[in-house]
Amino acid sequence: MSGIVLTATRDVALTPEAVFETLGSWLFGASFERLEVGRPLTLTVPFGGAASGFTIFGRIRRIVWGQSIVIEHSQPWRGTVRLRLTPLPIGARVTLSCDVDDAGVGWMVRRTGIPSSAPESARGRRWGLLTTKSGSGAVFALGTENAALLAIDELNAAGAGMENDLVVGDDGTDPAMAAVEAERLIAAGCRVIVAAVISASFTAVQQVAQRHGVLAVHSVLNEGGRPARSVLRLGERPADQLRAALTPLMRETGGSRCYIVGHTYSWSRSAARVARGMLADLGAGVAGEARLPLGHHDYAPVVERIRRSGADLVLSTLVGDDEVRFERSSHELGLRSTATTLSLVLDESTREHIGAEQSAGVWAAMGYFEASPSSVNQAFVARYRARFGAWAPPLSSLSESVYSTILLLERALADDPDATADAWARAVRQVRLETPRGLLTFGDGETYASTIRVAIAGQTGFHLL
Amino acid sequence: MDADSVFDSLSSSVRRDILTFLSTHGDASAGEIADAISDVGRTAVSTHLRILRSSGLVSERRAGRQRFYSLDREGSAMIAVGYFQSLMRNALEDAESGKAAVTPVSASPASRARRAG
Repeated sequence: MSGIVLTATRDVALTPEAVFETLGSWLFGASFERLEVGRPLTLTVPFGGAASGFTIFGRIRRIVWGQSIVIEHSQPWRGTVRLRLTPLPIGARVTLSCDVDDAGVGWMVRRTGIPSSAPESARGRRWGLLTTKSGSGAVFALGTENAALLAIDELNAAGAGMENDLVVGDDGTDPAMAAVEAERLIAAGCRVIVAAVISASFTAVQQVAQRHGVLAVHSVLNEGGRPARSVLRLGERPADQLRAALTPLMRETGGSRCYIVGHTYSWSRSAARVARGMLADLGAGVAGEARLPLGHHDYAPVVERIRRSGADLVLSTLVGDDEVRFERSSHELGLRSTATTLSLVLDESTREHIGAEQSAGVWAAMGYFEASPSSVNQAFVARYRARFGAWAPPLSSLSESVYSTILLLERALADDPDATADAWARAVRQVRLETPRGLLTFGDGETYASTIRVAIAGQTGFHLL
Repeated sequence: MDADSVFDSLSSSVRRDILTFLSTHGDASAGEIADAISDVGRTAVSTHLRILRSSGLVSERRAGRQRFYSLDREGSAMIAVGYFQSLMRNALEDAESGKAAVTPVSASPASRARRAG
Protein backbone atom coordinates (compact mmCIF):
# COMPACT_ATOMS: atom_id res chain seq x y z
CA MET A 1 0.00 0.00 0.00
CA SER A 2 1.32 3.46 -0.84
CA GLY A 3 0.55 6.66 1.03
CA ILE A 4 -3.09 7.72 1.18
CA VAL A 5 -5.12 10.82 1.94
CA LEU A 6 -8.13 10.47 4.24
CA THR A 7 -10.88 13.04 4.01
CA ALA A 8 -13.97 13.70 6.10
CA THR A 9 -16.53 16.40 5.28
CA ARG A 10 -19.53 17.65 7.19
CA ASP A 11 -21.94 20.55 6.75
CA VAL A 12 -22.63 22.26 10.06
CA ALA A 13 -25.12 24.91 11.17
CA LEU A 14 -22.41 27.20 12.52
CA THR A 15 -20.47 29.95 10.86
CA PRO A 16 -16.92 29.16 9.71
CA GLU A 17 -15.65 31.65 12.30
CA ALA A 18 -17.48 29.85 15.12
CA VAL A 19 -16.08 26.47 14.09
CA PHE A 20 -12.59 27.88 13.71
CA GLU A 21 -12.66 29.74 17.02
CA THR A 22 -13.28 26.51 18.90
CA LEU A 23 -11.01 24.07 17.07
CA GLY A 24 -9.08 23.51 20.28
CA SER A 25 -12.16 21.87 21.76
CA TRP A 26 -13.02 19.47 18.93
CA LEU A 27 -10.07 18.94 16.58
CA PHE A 28 -8.44 16.11 18.56
CA GLY A 29 -7.84 18.51 21.46
CA ALA A 30 -5.59 20.81 19.43
CA SER A 31 -3.11 22.41 21.80
CA PHE A 32 -0.83 25.32 20.96
CA GLU A 33 0.80 28.30 22.59
CA ARG A 34 -0.29 30.61 19.80
CA LEU A 35 -2.05 30.12 16.45
CA GLU A 36 0.70 31.47 14.27
CA VAL A 37 2.66 30.18 11.29
CA GLY A 38 5.75 28.28 12.45
CA ARG A 39 4.46 27.51 15.98
CA PRO A 40 4.31 23.92 17.31
CA LEU A 41 0.88 22.35 17.72
CA THR A 42 -0.20 18.99 19.09
CA LEU A 43 -3.29 16.87 18.43
CA THR A 44 -4.29 14.08 20.82
CA VAL A 45 -5.99 11.19 19.05
CA PRO A 46 -7.75 8.29 20.80
CA PHE A 47 -6.66 5.14 19.03
CA GLY A 48 -6.39 1.39 19.23
CA GLY A 49 -7.90 1.04 22.68
CA ALA A 50 -5.06 2.99 24.33
CA ALA A 51 -6.39 4.95 27.28
CA SER A 52 -4.50 8.11 26.46
CA GLY A 53 -4.41 7.79 22.68
CA PHE A 54 -1.44 9.24 20.90
CA THR A 55 -0.15 12.70 20.12
CA ILE A 56 0.53 14.12 16.68
CA PHE A 57 3.38 16.61 16.89
CA GLY A 58 3.17 19.25 14.22
CA ARG A 59 3.88 22.79 13.27
CA ILE A 60 1.47 25.33 11.82
CA ARG A 61 2.48 25.73 8.23
CA ARG A 62 -0.27 27.99 6.90
CA ILE A 63 -3.24 29.74 8.42
CA VAL A 64 -6.05 31.87 7.02
CA TRP A 65 -8.15 32.99 9.96
CA GLY A 66 -11.64 31.50 9.89
CA GLN A 67 -10.96 29.67 6.63
CA SER A 68 -8.16 27.15 6.83
CA ILE A 69 -5.22 25.80 8.76
CA VAL A 70 -2.47 23.47 7.55
CA ILE A 71 -0.41 21.50 10.07
CA GLU A 72 2.72 19.69 8.95
CA HIS A 73 3.83 16.94 11.30
CA SER A 74 6.64 14.43 11.70
CA GLN A 75 5.35 12.20 14.50
CA PRO A 76 4.15 9.51 14.83
CA TRP A 77 4.43 9.58 11.03
CA ARG A 78 5.17 12.31 8.48
CA GLY A 79 2.14 14.00 7.06
CA THR A 80 -0.16 16.97 6.85
CA VAL A 81 -3.44 17.74 8.57
CA ARG A 82 -5.59 20.25 6.67
CA LEU A 83 -8.78 21.88 7.84
CA ARG A 84 -10.82 23.93 5.39
CA LEU A 85 -14.00 25.88 6.19
CA THR A 86 -16.28 26.98 3.37
CA PRO A 87 -19.24 29.29 4.02
CA LEU A 88 -22.68 27.96 3.04
CA PRO A 89 -25.94 29.99 2.81
CA ILE A 90 -26.65 28.63 6.30
CA GLY A 91 -23.64 27.34 8.17
CA ALA A 92 -20.36 26.01 6.86
CA ARG A 93 -18.80 23.02 5.14
CA VAL A 94 -15.95 21.60 7.22
CA THR A 95 -13.38 19.49 5.39
CA LEU A 96 -10.68 17.67 7.33
CA SER A 97 -7.97 15.76 5.49
CA CYS A 98 -4.96 13.84 6.76
CA ASP A 99 -2.31 12.13 4.70
CA VAL A 100 -0.83 8.91 5.97
CA ASP A 101 2.34 7.48 4.43
CA ASP A 102 3.37 3.82 4.47
CA ALA A 103 5.25 4.26 7.73
CA GLY A 104 2.10 5.79 9.23
CA VAL A 105 -0.09 2.91 8.08
CA GLY A 106 2.41 0.41 9.53
CA TRP A 107 2.52 2.33 12.79
CA MET A 108 -1.28 2.36 13.04
CA VAL A 109 -1.49 -1.38 12.30
CA ARG A 110 0.92 -2.18 15.13
CA ARG A 111 -0.73 0.31 17.49
CA THR A 112 -4.08 -1.29 16.82
CA GLY A 113 -2.57 -4.45 18.27
CA ILE A 114 -2.08 -6.36 15.03
CA PRO A 115 1.40 -7.86 14.63
CA SER A 116 2.91 -6.73 11.35
CA SER A 117 5.14 -8.98 9.32
CA ALA A 118 8.78 -7.98 9.06
CA PRO A 119 9.71 -5.83 6.07
CA GLU A 120 11.44 -7.65 3.25
CA SER A 121 15.15 -7.85 3.91
CA ALA A 122 17.42 -5.34 2.27
CA ARG A 123 20.39 -6.18 0.06
CA GLY A 124 22.85 -4.25 2.20
CA ARG A 125 23.10 -3.30 5.84
CA ARG A 126 19.90 -2.69 7.69
CA TRP A 127 20.07 -0.36 10.69
CA GLY A 128 17.49 -0.47 13.45
CA LEU A 129 16.46 2.79 15.08
CA LEU A 130 14.32 2.61 18.17
CA THR A 131 12.94 6.02 18.94
CA THR A 132 9.94 7.43 20.75
CA LYS A 133 7.10 8.36 18.45
CA SER A 134 4.48 8.23 21.18
CA GLY A 135 4.13 8.55 24.93
CA SER A 136 5.78 11.08 27.26
CA GLY A 137 9.16 10.91 25.51
CA ALA A 138 7.77 11.74 22.08
CA VAL A 139 8.33 15.44 22.79
CA PHE A 140 12.10 15.10 22.91
CA ALA A 141 12.39 12.47 20.17
CA LEU A 142 11.31 14.88 17.45
CA GLY A 143 13.99 14.91 14.82
CA THR A 144 15.78 11.67 15.76
CA GLU A 145 14.38 9.78 12.78
CA ASN A 146 15.33 12.67 10.49
CA ALA A 147 18.87 12.69 11.85
CA ALA A 148 19.16 8.93 11.34
CA LEU A 149 17.88 9.20 7.77
CA LEU A 150 20.41 11.95 7.08
CA ALA A 151 23.22 9.71 8.30
CA ILE A 152 21.97 6.80 6.17
CA ASP A 153 21.70 9.09 3.12
CA GLU A 154 25.25 10.29 3.64
CA LEU A 155 26.58 6.75 4.03
CA ASN A 156 24.88 5.72 0.79
CA ALA A 157 26.04 8.87 -1.01
CA ALA A 158 29.61 8.13 0.07
CA GLY A 159 29.25 4.95 -1.99
CA ALA A 160 31.28 2.62 0.16
CA GLY A 161 29.73 -0.26 -1.74
CA MET A 162 27.12 -1.44 0.73
CA GLU A 163 23.58 -0.09 0.56
CA ASN A 164 22.23 1.01 3.95
CA ASP A 165 18.63 1.30 4.99
CA LEU A 166 16.75 2.12 8.16
CA VAL A 167 13.95 0.34 10.00
CA VAL A 168 12.30 2.48 12.66
CA GLY A 169 10.59 1.27 15.82
CA ASP A 170 8.53 3.16 18.41
CA ASP A 171 8.98 2.28 22.10
CA GLY A 172 5.95 4.36 23.11
CA THR A 173 8.01 5.40 26.19
CA ASP A 174 7.22 1.90 27.49
CA PRO A 175 9.83 -0.82 28.18
CA ALA A 176 7.43 -3.64 27.24
CA MET A 177 6.76 -2.05 23.87
CA ALA A 178 10.49 -1.41 23.46
CA ALA A 179 11.15 -5.16 23.77
CA VAL A 180 8.45 -6.01 21.22
CA GLU A 181 9.78 -3.45 18.77
CA ALA A 182 13.37 -4.61 19.26
CA GLU A 183 12.25 -8.13 18.31
CA ARG A 184 10.58 -6.70 15.19
CA LEU A 185 13.72 -4.80 14.14
CA ILE A 186 15.84 -7.90 14.59
CA ALA A 187 13.34 -10.02 12.63
CA ALA A 188 13.65 -7.44 9.85
CA GLY A 189 17.37 -8.16 9.63
CA CYS A 190 18.88 -5.40 11.77
CA ARG A 191 22.14 -6.45 13.42
CA VAL A 192 22.57 -3.07 15.09
CA ILE A 193 19.92 -1.20 17.07
CA VAL A 194 20.54 2.46 17.86
CA ALA A 195 18.21 3.36 20.70
CA ALA A 196 17.22 6.96 21.42
CA VAL A 197 14.87 6.09 24.26
CA ILE A 198 14.63 6.37 28.04
CA SER A 199 16.90 4.13 30.11
CA ALA A 200 14.11 1.82 31.19
CA SER A 201 13.34 1.08 27.54
CA PHE A 202 17.00 0.59 26.71
CA THR A 203 17.33 -2.03 29.44
CA ALA A 204 14.56 -4.00 27.71
CA VAL A 205 16.23 -3.55 24.32
CA GLN A 206 19.56 -4.68 25.71
CA GLN A 207 18.09 -7.97 26.94
CA VAL A 208 16.50 -8.73 23.57
CA ALA A 209 19.63 -7.72 21.63
CA GLN A 210 21.93 -9.88 23.75
CA ARG A 211 19.67 -12.89 23.25
CA HIS A 212 19.97 -12.48 19.45
CA GLY A 213 23.65 -11.45 19.29
CA VAL A 214 22.78 -7.96 18.09
CA LEU A 215 24.72 -4.80 18.96
CA ALA A 216 22.64 -2.40 21.06
CA VAL A 217 23.72 1.22 21.35
CA HIS A 218 22.14 3.78 23.65
CA SER A 219 22.92 7.04 21.89
CA VAL A 220 21.17 9.54 24.14
CA LEU A 221 21.93 10.74 27.65
CA ASN A 222 21.86 7.94 30.22
CA GLU A 223 23.11 6.99 33.67
CA GLY A 224 25.47 4.23 32.46
CA GLY A 225 25.16 0.68 33.61
CA ARG A 226 26.94 -2.60 33.99
CA PRO A 227 29.43 -2.97 31.12
CA ALA A 228 28.42 -5.62 28.59
CA ARG A 229 30.38 -6.82 25.58
CA SER A 230 27.75 -6.11 22.93
CA VAL A 231 26.28 -2.96 24.48
CA LEU A 232 27.42 0.64 24.13
CA ARG A 233 26.09 3.60 26.09
CA LEU A 234 27.30 6.75 24.40
CA GLY A 235 25.18 9.65 25.61
CA GLU A 236 25.82 12.30 28.25
CA ARG A 237 26.08 11.17 31.87
CA PRO A 238 24.33 13.09 34.67
CA ALA A 239 27.61 13.59 36.56
CA ASP A 240 29.17 15.34 33.55
CA GLN A 241 26.09 17.51 32.99
CA LEU A 242 25.92 18.53 36.65
CA ARG A 243 29.68 19.12 36.89
CA ALA A 244 29.47 21.49 33.93
CA ALA A 245 26.38 23.40 35.06
CA LEU A 246 26.10 23.57 38.85
CA THR A 247 29.08 25.83 39.60
CA PRO A 248 28.22 28.52 37.01
CA LEU A 249 24.54 28.27 37.97
CA MET A 250 25.29 28.94 41.65
CA ARG A 251 27.80 31.67 40.80
CA GLU A 252 25.45 33.49 38.40
CA THR A 253 22.32 33.27 40.52
CA GLY A 254 23.76 33.20 44.04
CA GLY A 255 21.41 30.28 44.74
CA SER A 256 22.33 27.72 47.38
CA ARG A 257 19.13 25.78 48.24
CA CYS A 258 18.12 23.30 45.56
CA TYR A 259 14.85 21.42 45.17
CA ILE A 260 15.18 18.23 43.11
CA VAL A 261 12.19 17.09 41.05
CA GLY A 262 12.29 13.94 38.97
CA HIS A 263 10.79 10.60 38.03
CA THR A 264 10.63 7.27 39.79
CA TYR A 265 12.70 5.42 37.19
CA SER A 266 16.39 4.64 37.05
CA TRP A 267 17.96 7.55 35.15
CA SER A 268 16.18 10.16 37.21
CA ARG A 269 17.05 8.46 40.51
CA SER A 270 20.67 8.18 39.48
CA ALA A 271 20.87 11.84 38.47
CA ALA A 272 19.35 12.91 41.79
CA ARG A 273 21.82 10.79 43.75
CA VAL A 274 24.77 12.36 41.91
CA ALA A 275 23.29 15.83 42.37
CA ARG A 276 22.92 15.44 46.14
CA GLY A 277 26.62 14.63 46.44
CA MET A 278 27.75 17.48 44.21
CA LEU A 279 25.50 20.02 45.90
CA ALA A 280 26.98 19.05 49.27
CA ASP A 281 30.51 19.40 47.87
CA LEU A 282 29.64 22.88 46.60
CA GLY A 283 28.22 23.93 49.97
CA ALA A 284 24.61 23.96 48.78
CA GLY A 285 21.67 22.36 50.55
CA VAL A 286 18.79 20.23 49.30
CA ALA A 287 15.52 22.02 50.08
CA GLY A 288 13.39 19.02 49.18
CA GLU A 289 12.69 16.35 46.62
CA ALA A 290 9.69 15.25 44.58
CA ARG A 291 9.57 12.04 42.61
CA LEU A 292 6.69 11.35 40.22
CA PRO A 293 5.83 8.48 37.89
CA LEU A 294 6.44 8.98 34.18
CA GLY A 295 3.31 10.45 32.61
CA HIS A 296 2.25 12.46 35.67
CA HIS A 297 -0.07 15.28 34.62
CA ASP A 298 -0.63 17.86 37.33
CA TYR A 299 2.58 19.58 38.41
CA ALA A 300 0.96 22.60 40.11
CA PRO A 301 1.08 20.98 43.61
CA VAL A 302 4.76 20.16 43.10
CA VAL A 303 5.54 23.74 42.13
CA GLU A 304 3.67 24.93 45.21
CA ARG A 305 5.78 22.63 47.42
CA ILE A 306 8.93 24.03 45.85
CA ARG A 307 7.78 27.59 46.54
CA ARG A 308 7.04 26.78 50.15
CA SER A 309 10.42 25.10 50.60
CA GLY A 310 12.24 28.39 50.02
CA ALA A 311 14.43 26.86 47.31
CA ASP A 312 16.28 29.30 45.08
CA LEU A 313 17.46 26.58 42.69
CA VAL A 314 15.50 23.75 41.07
CA LEU A 315 17.01 20.68 39.45
CA SER A 316 14.59 18.98 37.06
CA THR A 317 15.28 15.48 35.78
CA LEU A 318 11.80 15.17 34.28
CA VAL A 319 11.63 14.07 30.66
CA GLY A 320 9.44 14.83 27.66
CA ASP A 321 5.85 15.81 28.20
CA ASP A 322 6.32 15.74 31.97
CA GLU A 323 9.06 18.36 31.67
CA VAL A 324 6.77 20.44 29.44
CA ARG A 325 3.99 20.33 32.04
CA PHE A 326 6.32 21.08 34.93
CA GLU A 327 7.99 24.08 33.29
CA ARG A 328 4.67 25.51 32.16
CA SER A 329 3.37 25.22 35.73
CA SER A 330 6.57 26.80 37.07
CA HIS A 331 6.07 29.77 34.76
CA GLU A 332 2.34 30.14 35.40
CA LEU A 333 2.72 29.97 39.18
CA GLY A 334 5.55 32.48 39.33
CA LEU A 335 8.35 30.14 40.40
CA ARG A 336 10.75 31.78 37.94
CA SER A 337 10.86 34.93 40.09
CA THR A 338 12.21 33.09 43.15
CA ALA A 339 14.19 30.15 41.76
CA THR A 340 16.29 29.28 38.72
CA THR A 341 15.82 25.86 37.17
CA LEU A 342 18.48 23.59 35.71
CA SER A 343 16.88 20.91 33.56
CA LEU A 344 18.94 17.91 32.48
CA VAL A 345 16.63 16.88 29.62
CA LEU A 346 15.72 20.25 28.22
CA ASP A 347 16.53 20.05 24.52
CA GLU A 348 15.42 22.23 21.62
CA SER A 349 12.24 20.25 20.94
CA THR A 350 11.16 20.24 24.57
CA ARG A 351 11.84 23.98 24.83
CA GLU A 352 9.61 24.62 21.82
CA HIS A 353 6.78 22.62 23.34
CA ILE A 354 7.05 24.37 26.68
CA GLY A 355 6.84 27.69 24.84
CA ALA A 356 9.36 30.49 24.35
CA GLU A 357 8.02 32.68 27.13
CA GLN A 358 7.34 29.83 29.55
CA SER A 359 10.82 28.31 29.20
CA ALA A 360 12.85 31.53 29.19
CA GLY A 361 15.56 31.49 31.84
CA VAL A 362 15.76 27.72 32.33
CA TRP A 363 19.31 26.34 32.24
CA ALA A 364 20.31 23.28 30.24
CA ALA A 365 23.50 21.22 29.96
CA MET A 366 24.01 18.97 26.96
CA GLY A 367 26.77 17.70 24.71
CA TYR A 368 25.17 19.41 21.73
CA PHE A 369 22.99 22.41 20.97
CA GLU A 370 21.77 23.34 17.52
CA ALA A 371 23.15 26.85 18.11
CA SER A 372 26.73 25.59 18.41
CA PRO A 373 28.83 27.89 16.20
CA SER A 374 31.37 25.32 15.00
CA SER A 375 31.74 25.05 11.24
CA VAL A 376 31.11 21.28 11.36
CA ASN A 377 27.82 21.89 13.13
CA GLN A 378 26.75 24.74 10.89
CA ALA A 379 27.30 22.53 7.85
CA PHE A 380 25.35 19.73 9.58
CA VAL A 381 22.41 22.02 10.33
CA ALA A 382 22.44 23.30 6.74
CA ARG A 383 22.36 19.73 5.35
CA TYR A 384 19.51 18.83 7.74
CA ARG A 385 17.43 21.83 6.64
CA ALA A 386 18.18 21.18 2.97
CA ARG A 387 17.02 17.58 3.35
CA PHE A 388 13.95 18.05 5.57
CA GLY A 389 12.91 21.67 5.06
CA ALA A 390 12.21 24.65 7.23
CA TRP A 391 9.33 22.93 9.06
CA ALA A 392 11.34 19.98 10.32
CA PRO A 393 11.77 19.72 14.11
CA PRO A 394 14.85 21.42 15.53
CA LEU A 395 18.03 19.43 15.98
CA SER A 396 19.05 18.70 19.54
CA SER A 397 21.51 16.57 21.49
CA LEU A 398 19.06 13.68 21.29
CA SER A 399 18.80 13.74 17.49
CA GLU A 400 22.41 14.68 16.76
CA SER A 401 23.55 11.77 18.91
CA VAL A 402 21.72 9.38 16.59
CA TYR A 403 23.38 10.90 13.52
CA SER A 404 26.87 10.78 15.04
CA THR A 405 26.35 7.30 16.46
CA ILE A 406 25.48 5.83 13.05
CA LEU A 407 28.57 7.41 11.45
CA LEU A 408 30.72 6.27 14.38
CA LEU A 409 29.42 2.70 14.08
CA GLU A 410 29.87 2.65 10.31
CA ARG A 411 33.58 3.37 10.77
CA ALA A 412 33.85 0.31 12.98
CA LEU A 413 31.55 -1.98 11.00
CA ALA A 414 33.09 -1.20 7.61
CA ASP A 415 36.30 -3.05 8.40
CA ASP A 416 34.53 -6.31 9.16
CA PRO A 417 30.86 -6.31 8.13
CA ASP A 418 30.36 -9.90 9.22
CA ALA A 419 31.91 -9.63 12.68
CA THR A 420 30.05 -10.41 15.87
CA ALA A 421 28.35 -7.74 17.94
CA ASP A 422 31.10 -8.08 20.56
CA ALA A 423 33.79 -7.44 17.95
CA TRP A 424 31.93 -4.43 16.59
CA ALA A 425 31.62 -3.00 20.09
CA ARG A 426 35.39 -3.41 20.59
CA ALA A 427 36.09 -1.81 17.20
CA VAL A 428 33.88 1.21 17.93
CA ARG A 429 36.03 1.97 20.97
CA GLN A 430 39.01 2.54 18.67
CA VAL A 431 37.27 5.09 16.43
CA ARG A 432 37.95 8.82 16.53
CA LEU A 433 35.41 10.91 14.66
CA GLU A 434 34.80 14.63 14.16
CA THR A 435 31.08 15.21 14.65
CA PRO A 436 28.74 18.19 15.04
CA ARG A 437 29.25 17.95 18.83
CA GLY A 438 33.04 17.81 18.50
CA LEU A 439 35.73 15.17 18.30
CA LEU A 440 34.47 11.87 19.70
CA THR A 441 37.00 9.53 21.26
CA PHE A 442 36.52 6.82 23.82
CA GLY A 443 37.88 8.19 27.05
CA ASP A 444 37.40 5.33 29.49
CA GLY A 445 36.50 2.48 27.13
CA GLU A 446 32.86 2.69 28.21
CA THR A 447 31.65 5.94 26.67
CA TYR A 448 33.08 8.71 24.55
CA ALA A 449 34.66 11.84 25.90
CA SER A 450 32.66 14.89 24.86
CA THR A 451 32.35 18.42 26.13
CA ILE A 452 29.16 19.39 27.93
CA ARG A 453 27.88 22.83 26.99
CA VAL A 454 25.72 24.95 29.25
CA ALA A 455 22.97 27.12 27.80
CA ILE A 456 20.03 29.24 28.92
CA ALA A 457 16.65 29.11 27.16
CA GLY A 458 15.67 32.44 25.64
CA GLN A 459 12.85 33.78 23.49
CA THR A 460 14.37 32.53 20.23
CA GLY A 461 16.34 29.49 21.32
CA PHE A 462 19.25 28.56 23.55
CA HIS A 463 22.00 31.03 24.38
CA LEU A 464 25.28 29.20 24.95
CA LEU A 465 27.34 30.32 27.92
CA MET B 1 -15.24 -5.57 8.60
CA ASP B 2 -15.46 -2.95 11.33
CA ALA B 3 -13.34 -1.82 14.25
CA ASP B 4 -15.47 -3.71 16.79
CA SER B 5 -15.00 -7.07 15.05
CA VAL B 6 -11.27 -6.42 14.83
CA PHE B 7 -10.94 -5.67 18.52
CA ASP B 8 -13.14 -8.69 19.31
CA SER B 9 -10.71 -10.78 17.27
CA LEU B 10 -7.73 -9.35 19.13
CA SER B 11 -9.33 -9.98 22.52
CA SER B 12 -8.37 -13.67 22.40
CA SER B 13 -4.82 -14.56 23.41
CA VAL B 14 -4.92 -17.61 21.10
CA ARG B 15 -5.83 -15.43 18.14
CA ARG B 16 -3.06 -12.97 19.05
CA ASP B 17 -0.64 -15.90 19.19
CA ILE B 18 -1.79 -17.04 15.75
CA LEU B 19 -1.24 -13.55 14.32
CA THR B 20 2.20 -13.30 15.89
CA PHE B 21 3.13 -16.72 14.50
CA LEU B 22 1.95 -15.77 11.00
CA SER B 23 3.79 -12.42 11.16
CA THR B 24 7.11 -14.24 11.39
CA HIS B 25 6.40 -17.47 9.45
CA GLY B 26 4.67 -16.30 6.29
CA ASP B 27 1.87 -18.74 5.47
CA ALA B 28 1.08 -21.93 7.32
CA SER B 29 -1.58 -24.64 7.48
CA ALA B 30 -3.94 -25.01 10.42
CA GLY B 31 -1.99 -28.09 11.49
CA GLU B 32 1.31 -26.23 11.48
CA ILE B 33 -0.22 -23.42 13.49
CA ALA B 34 -1.70 -25.88 15.99
CA ASP B 35 1.70 -27.53 16.40
CA ALA B 36 3.33 -24.16 17.05
CA ILE B 37 0.82 -22.99 19.65
CA SER B 38 0.78 -25.18 22.71
CA ASP B 39 -2.43 -26.52 24.26
CA VAL B 40 -4.63 -25.61 21.30
CA GLY B 41 -6.05 -28.35 19.11
CA ARG B 42 -6.46 -28.17 15.35
CA THR B 43 -10.24 -27.83 15.52
CA ALA B 44 -9.95 -24.86 17.87
CA VAL B 45 -7.30 -23.29 15.66
CA SER B 46 -9.60 -23.65 12.64
CA THR B 47 -12.35 -21.87 14.54
CA HIS B 48 -10.02 -19.04 15.50
CA LEU B 49 -8.76 -18.78 11.92
CA ARG B 50 -12.36 -18.43 10.68
CA ILE B 51 -12.89 -15.48 13.06
CA LEU B 52 -9.61 -13.88 11.98
CA ARG B 53 -10.55 -14.29 8.33
CA SER B 54 -13.97 -12.74 8.81
CA SER B 55 -12.45 -9.70 10.51
CA GLY B 56 -10.00 -9.24 7.64
CA LEU B 57 -6.81 -9.96 9.55
CA VAL B 58 -5.95 -13.28 7.89
CA SER B 59 -6.26 -14.47 4.30
CA GLU B 60 -6.55 -18.04 3.01
CA ARG B 61 -4.89 -19.70 0.02
CA ARG B 62 -5.79 -23.16 -1.31
CA ALA B 63 -3.21 -25.53 -2.76
CA GLY B 64 -4.95 -28.76 -3.75
CA ARG B 65 -6.70 -30.06 -0.64
CA GLN B 66 -4.50 -28.00 1.66
CA ARG B 67 -5.37 -24.54 2.97
CA PHE B 68 -2.68 -22.10 3.94
CA TYR B 69 -3.21 -19.00 6.04
CA SER B 70 -1.21 -15.78 6.15
CA LEU B 71 -1.39 -12.37 7.73
CA ASP B 72 -3.46 -10.14 5.46
CA ARG B 73 -1.26 -7.03 5.43
CA GLU B 74 -3.58 -5.10 3.14
CA GLY B 75 -6.60 -6.05 5.21
CA SER B 76 -4.88 -5.09 8.48
CA ALA B 77 -3.80 -1.78 6.99
CA MET B 78 -7.30 -0.99 5.76
CA ILE B 79 -8.73 -1.77 9.20
CA ALA B 80 -6.34 0.64 10.91
CA VAL B 81 -6.87 3.32 8.29
CA GLY B 82 -10.64 2.87 8.46
CA TYR B 83 -10.56 3.29 12.20
CA PHE B 84 -8.56 6.50 11.88
CA GLN B 85 -11.03 7.79 9.30
CA SER B 86 -13.91 7.11 11.69
CA LEU B 87 -12.11 9.18 14.32
CA MET B 88 -11.89 12.05 11.85
CA ARG B 89 -15.63 11.84 11.20
CA ASN B 90 -16.29 11.81 14.95
CA ALA B 91 -14.19 14.94 15.34
CA LEU B 92 -16.33 16.75 12.77
CA GLU B 93 -19.49 15.59 14.54
CA ASP B 94 -18.09 17.09 17.73
CA ALA B 95 -17.56 20.38 15.92
CA GLU B 96 -21.31 20.65 15.43
CA SER B 97 -22.80 18.64 18.26
CA GLY B 98 -22.48 21.41 20.76
CA LYS B 99 -18.85 21.39 21.71
CA ALA B 100 -18.06 24.17 19.29
CA ALA B 101 -21.28 26.06 19.93
CA VAL B 102 -21.23 26.03 23.72
CA THR B 103 -17.55 26.79 24.21
CA PRO B 104 -17.32 30.45 25.22
CA VAL B 105 -15.30 32.29 22.63
CA SER B 106 -13.22 34.00 25.27
CA ALA B 107 -12.16 30.64 26.74
CA SER B 108 -10.98 29.03 23.53
CA PRO B 109 -7.24 28.77 22.91
CA ALA B 110 -7.78 30.10 19.41
CA SER B 111 -9.36 33.32 20.52
CA ARG B 112 -6.81 33.82 23.29
CA ALA B 113 -4.07 33.40 20.72
CA ARG B 114 -5.68 35.86 18.34
CA ARG B 115 -5.93 38.52 21.02
CA ALA B 116 -2.35 37.88 22.08
CA GLY B 117 -1.19 38.15 18.47
